[in-house]
Amino acid sequence: MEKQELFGENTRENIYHCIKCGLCIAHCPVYKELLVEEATPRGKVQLSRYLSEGGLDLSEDVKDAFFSTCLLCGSCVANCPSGVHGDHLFSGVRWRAVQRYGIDWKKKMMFQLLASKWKMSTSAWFGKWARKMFGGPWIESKLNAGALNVERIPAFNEKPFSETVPEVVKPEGETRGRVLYFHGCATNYLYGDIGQAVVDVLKKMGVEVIIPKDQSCCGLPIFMSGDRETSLQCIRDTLKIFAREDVDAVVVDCATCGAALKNEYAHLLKDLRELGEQVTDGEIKAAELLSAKMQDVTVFIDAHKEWLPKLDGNGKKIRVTYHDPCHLVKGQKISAEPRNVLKAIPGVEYVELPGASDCCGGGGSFQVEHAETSQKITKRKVDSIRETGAQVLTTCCPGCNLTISNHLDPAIRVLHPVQLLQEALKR
Amino acid sequence: MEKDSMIGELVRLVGRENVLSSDMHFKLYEYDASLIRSKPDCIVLPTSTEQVSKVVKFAHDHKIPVIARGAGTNLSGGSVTVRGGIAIVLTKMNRILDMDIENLRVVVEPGVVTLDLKNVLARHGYLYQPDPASEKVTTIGGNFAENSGGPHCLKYGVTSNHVLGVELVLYDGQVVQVGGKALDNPGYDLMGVLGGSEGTLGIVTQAVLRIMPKAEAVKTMLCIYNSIEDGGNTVTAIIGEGIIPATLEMMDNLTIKAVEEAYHVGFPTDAAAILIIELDGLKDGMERLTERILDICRQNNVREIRVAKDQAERDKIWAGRKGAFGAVGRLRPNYLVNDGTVPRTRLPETLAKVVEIGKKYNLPIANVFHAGDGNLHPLILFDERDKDELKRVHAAAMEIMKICVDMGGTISGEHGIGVEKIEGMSLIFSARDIAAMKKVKAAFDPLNLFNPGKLLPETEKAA
Amino acid sequence: MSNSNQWISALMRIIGEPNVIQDPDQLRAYAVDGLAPKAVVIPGSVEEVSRLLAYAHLGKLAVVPRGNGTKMAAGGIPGKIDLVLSMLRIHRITEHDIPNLSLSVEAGITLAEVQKKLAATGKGSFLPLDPPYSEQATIGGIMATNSSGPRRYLYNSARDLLLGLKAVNPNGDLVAFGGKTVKNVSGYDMTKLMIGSWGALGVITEITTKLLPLPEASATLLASFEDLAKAGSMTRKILHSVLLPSAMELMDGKAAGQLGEKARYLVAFSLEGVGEAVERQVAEIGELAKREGAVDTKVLKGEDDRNFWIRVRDFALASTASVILRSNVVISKLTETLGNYEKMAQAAGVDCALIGHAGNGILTSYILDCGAAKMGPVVDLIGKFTDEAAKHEGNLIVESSPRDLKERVSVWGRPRSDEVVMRRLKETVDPGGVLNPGRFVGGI
Repeated sequence: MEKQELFGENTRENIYHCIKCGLCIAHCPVYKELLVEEATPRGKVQLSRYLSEGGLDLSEDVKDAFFSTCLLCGSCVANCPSGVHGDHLFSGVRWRAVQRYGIDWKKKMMFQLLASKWKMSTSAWFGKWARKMFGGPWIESKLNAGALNVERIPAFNEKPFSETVPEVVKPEGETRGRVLYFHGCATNYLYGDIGQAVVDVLKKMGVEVIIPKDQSCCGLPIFMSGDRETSLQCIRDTLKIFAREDVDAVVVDCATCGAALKNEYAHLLKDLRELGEQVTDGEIKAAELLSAKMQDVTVFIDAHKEWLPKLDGNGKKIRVTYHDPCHLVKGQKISAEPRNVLKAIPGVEYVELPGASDCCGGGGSFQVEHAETSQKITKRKVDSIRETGAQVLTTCCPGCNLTISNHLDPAIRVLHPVQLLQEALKR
Repeated sequence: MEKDSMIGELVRLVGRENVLSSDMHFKLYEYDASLIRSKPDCIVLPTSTEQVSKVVKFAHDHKIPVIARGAGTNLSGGSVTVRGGIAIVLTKMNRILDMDIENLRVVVEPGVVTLDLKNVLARHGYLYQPDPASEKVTTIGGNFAENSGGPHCLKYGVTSNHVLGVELVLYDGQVVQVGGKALDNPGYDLMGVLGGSEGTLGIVTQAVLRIMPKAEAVKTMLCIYNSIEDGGNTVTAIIGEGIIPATLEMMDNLTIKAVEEAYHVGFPTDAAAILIIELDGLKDGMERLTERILDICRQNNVREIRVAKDQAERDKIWAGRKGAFGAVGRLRPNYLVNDGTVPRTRLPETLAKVVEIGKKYNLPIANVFHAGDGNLHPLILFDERDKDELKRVHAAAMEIMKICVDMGGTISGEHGIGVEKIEGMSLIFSARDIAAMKKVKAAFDPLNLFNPGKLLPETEKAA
Repeated sequence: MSNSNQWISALMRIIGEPNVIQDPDQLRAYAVDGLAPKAVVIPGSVEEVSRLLAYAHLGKLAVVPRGNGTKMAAGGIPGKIDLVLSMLRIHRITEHDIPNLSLSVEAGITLAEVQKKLAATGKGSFLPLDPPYSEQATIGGIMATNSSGPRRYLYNSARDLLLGLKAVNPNGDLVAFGGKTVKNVSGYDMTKLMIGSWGALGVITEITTKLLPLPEASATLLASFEDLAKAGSMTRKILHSVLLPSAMELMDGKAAGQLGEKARYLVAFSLEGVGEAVERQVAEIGELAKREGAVDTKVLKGEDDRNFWIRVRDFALASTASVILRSNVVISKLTETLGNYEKMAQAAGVDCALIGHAGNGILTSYILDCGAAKMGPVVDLIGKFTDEAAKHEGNLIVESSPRDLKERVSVWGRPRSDEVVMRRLKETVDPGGVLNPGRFVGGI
């Protein structure tokens, strides 16, 4: 077996800092269900070592282990006392695995679409039309996409969100700040309401919001599936548009996009450079600039809460709880700000969700391709939400939103915190 | 026996989905948390006592070694199949079978994760006392096999003081009950010898544990020192005063730095040592006891004392302590952790000698220790890719063990002998002692099928 | 059997003539279940014990180790006895590490002697064990029989206190396990194996134990009840509370009467610890007793406190009990078991006093008259008692009885599935059947 360089040198060093203490195992949502060593982060780090040193072949078994027993949720990374970046190792293995074994044609097609804005909006339009023509509650109730019940997947937006807002939204009174808004694919095609809420709230705070029309996918789902080449295109496109000095922040409404922009771009570019890819210093600097500017929208709002107009209650109280998206709480270490935003809304009775930072089990395509494991994890989340008696579940990730709402009692609303804020501001 | 036919037979016994036999799996189950690696010939994950019994009987009939395994976080090589054979992984046997609060007992399968059990008990207001630092990932079965300790064992004892009965699979597959919910069953204290037997005598498929009501009050203090000696003297003085706290834990500067970098719990990175003291029990008199302890600390030059105000502060202090081992991975990639135990009063002396050994072999050593019971954990830091360094590490470890014995102590307080410390057994046991232990082994496992190559040296060397 | 004169002379050479008893009148005093030994040997050093056992092993002699003989009436009828090995001359305190709170003592010293010395040294400490006959029982005997008393409720028993142990194996090998450290997982925990092994796996010569500082204050609270269920309900509440008595005993009227207390059922609490905690518990338990329907409560302090527990502990000495039974059940069923035993004994016309460790599920039955006429009913009663204990996951041991009773009951109770391992253990450790042959579980 020819020894391929799986990792850049920096990434590879992680392997040698794993002391096999096993503490990561306590935090892995997949291991909890499967109870076998390949499902542990420790196991995958050791496999990475064997692959890197030539002690093990990258067989189908190994490929399957890296795809079917890992959500790339980052729980292990957040809890490794040694600071081992398992996620960097695992995505590196996925990359070489995909190169050797190829990628499912449907996925490949999907990634090509996501990477090209033009292709994506055309197919979104088509998908919407097809669902209108051929879908319908009866058919959809019989269909599932892996763990997802098709009928409970939200309909595509009538128009992509970016077509429903001007490129620059100016506030009414004085302009206190200026942000770029990276809305990401989910908001653009499925959750237009969240996009609208972000713009409304920021506008009322006196913030000028720039929503570049030619923005595309952040690239992370593509990257995590191993197709680094296609994701590189998204990364470069995003850097060109968003790595700007002249804004106060680049806000996102999606935890995964946020993690991509904050943590992954710079690391990936450096890693690829160590592996021989042509990456310029300028690109790395741009990635670092973008990382510094990037803020989850709830972080931005919490940091500037004095800009919010006075909020009035309407006398009614709703019980609200919050689920920490993995890529926000573990990837970016953000957990206080979304809660602060919620607690500041009059009429919200906030209850803490036990296991709030436990993974929802979605993992993007994981829930489609590895339905059984995903469903077990999601069930735990849904059970604990139910036990809080909350009427609204909030979360800062459309991925988690999609997964949880697909399995949760339909009477419980699933919203982004800015949507509740938007409602309160309307009153 | 041919590997393929063995695998075929095991599939028949436990089901295809519970047998792992790919190259990838052999590599995945070749290690634990020690430096030792050796592949098993097959891995099974039984889901019932019956399946365990069948597998053991099969192994017995064909003279194949077997090893029971939980989370595989063993620090002395106890979970590694050094002679190949079948790894019987018990992670799927993870149910709590009987919460018998009325009788202060809980019956569990061996794969239950210790902290998971404690969390369930906590909801009812009860405790299972043993709290090894690895409790969030280790299993009850593993704890029992190694007789794990943890910070609270100073006051409450170790795992074998809290496991009162087991269902045991013997070397020929026979299943017997040892001990039980009621105390003092007639006969030899087989439970006593099974605790800490490192999987060499039988496989536990159920355990009966002792639980107790939560204490009324807890007081946790973090005491900061400018010298390890002062910390050590404080420990001796507290016990000498007749106060037995629930825990007395110490960490040295190197460890503090690593922990702070990893967890940011607020430990001062310029302190020479910190001492975590915890009192528990009735609230009456606790203030007075606390004052006495603080006085003793002051008499021993404590720099600063922080008393935890609430559960959150208490949790933070303990998070720092429990993550200490892993955190030193930030300083150097690997560590070898010693587990020597000395009489409490000789701890400062022993530590001074450990520092000398570090200098002698040019190796950084971070120290974490259960100061109250004299169990030290010098973490010798190195990079296993450096073969010369690895040699020095083993030499240093051996010297540290010798020192502990010289001080009137022993070579392993809680991590077990496994493979790693077999060489050290002759430091504390005579040939006759070892012969006596071998008789116990022979009585339980005449064919030496259970975890061979562990705990007892093969050839007897006189002390 | 080989020429006994031959081997007796050999023994005299090993330990000196004055230390070998041959006189038949004296030997009778050392008989076990009516079987007198052929000689009694009293070695003066551990070396001598080793040589004696090595000799016995070679000569296939049967040896019964002995301290002060307080538990000699226990166990199955011996197969044969050649020698009684007295450990009384091996009785030194070998190390008292005061700051380490550890103590090493040889087997032949009495517990009372040890406690006296500990209390008088430094700030004062104690070995938290209160088995019966502490004045007479030797450390070796206590450990070999895993003897314990009421205070095991808080302090647990020998297996939770011992740090190390030295013994002589049946083949004469001197072995040492454990040490002075509170934690020790080096090798097998042979210390625990030897505790409660009834002299069948080796002769204990020395133990190392942890100590506790003497408690600051102590008191006793007695609560008397008319209704057993109410007494049981009280003990249940204490068991699940945060309170920490050092002992919690439940006894019937007969036992209480013998202790000088008038009560249909008596619950006795020992409180030890810091002054504030003792006072608080005396008050709180007293109040609880009244709420639970106690007809009377009483507080004992000082000498009264101490003497009460000595009388409880040494109940057998003062009573006329010739048969003592020990049942173990799950904790929550102790009260029910005591009540049922009372009824069964009454129905059988057997006079019986009952004292239970209410927090541990151990119930001792003192059968106060077991003459020849009562033998039949007593045998039946033991059967019923054992059935009752077995219903609650327990068993029954005959701790003390005359020989003719032993011929009719199984003194070690119902057999259990792990007996197969115990048998193999005995065969491996003592293939020659040197130590106490036939006296243990399953006739091992």
